Amino acid sequence: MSPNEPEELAPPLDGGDFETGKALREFFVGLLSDDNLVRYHRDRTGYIDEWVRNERAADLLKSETFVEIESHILAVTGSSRAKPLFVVSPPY
Amino acid sequence: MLYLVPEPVAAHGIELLNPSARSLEHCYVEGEHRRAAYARMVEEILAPVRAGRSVCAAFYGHPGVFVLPSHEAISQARTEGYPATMLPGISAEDCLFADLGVDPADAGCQSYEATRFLELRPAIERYAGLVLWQIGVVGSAHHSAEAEAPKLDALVSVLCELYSGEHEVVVYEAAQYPGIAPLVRRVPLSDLSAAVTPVATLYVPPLDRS
Repeated sequence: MSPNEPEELAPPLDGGDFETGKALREFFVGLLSDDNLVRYHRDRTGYIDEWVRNERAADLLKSETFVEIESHILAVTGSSRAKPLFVVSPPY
Repeated sequence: MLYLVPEPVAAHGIELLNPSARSLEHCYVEGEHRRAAYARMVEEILAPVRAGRSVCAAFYGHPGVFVLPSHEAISQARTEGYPATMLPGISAEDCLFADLGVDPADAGCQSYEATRFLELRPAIERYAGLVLWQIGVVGSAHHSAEAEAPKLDALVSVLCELYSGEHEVVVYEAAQYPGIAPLVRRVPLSDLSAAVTPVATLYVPPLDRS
């Protein structure tokens, strides 16, 4: 499934796993370096296999399950920074 | 460098670019009206400007789309004689058009913040698309770590008056990570309440003219 073929996803999980979330976070931060993002889009599976040692994280990345990926990443910091509800628009 | 992003990967990325970057998250106070948080953000941005420093404030998405403190900070800075510029980003609506394959040129597209939509009850062209932002917090004016949408049922009722309850709508959430699929839930309007996620946007497709 590509990003342009949306599909209904599983509901949010109650809690994410720290180690999986840490691996996912490091993976996405790593995409910011050099030409990693280009390489990732050119060969997703190959890039994931090369960079992700955490098996659960690799499976999630290949399945593109956004809600579950996010739940694990949010388990990493435990800080308020991880909350997705920073509304910055109305009411006025 | 000040920033407000809703997840830790973006925050970490910003801090890698500038280790002295500071989050504006502390401006929010649980249970407080959000306007107070916006006012604090504006002051946090302007204080170093007034001290003669160059300031960059980064907000998630497009900094000028559904972001009050960015507009307010720029307006105040200019009023006080400081140069200020906004650079565009990619909004949730931009992602929605790409992910759902919707071109607003086809039938037109109306776009409202959900709470404002309920308050103002604007005339809606049902043969054009309709985007309602922030349906996951519709009717809530206060900051909360947990999603509160006290007017969601009222919103569904209004929409069911405009469209039929069987009209298929899309609950949409753009993926925040590259290469990952968005959250897309296609449901009949009458089933909308159960499908809404905290940061979702609603897309109501146009009625068929035929």
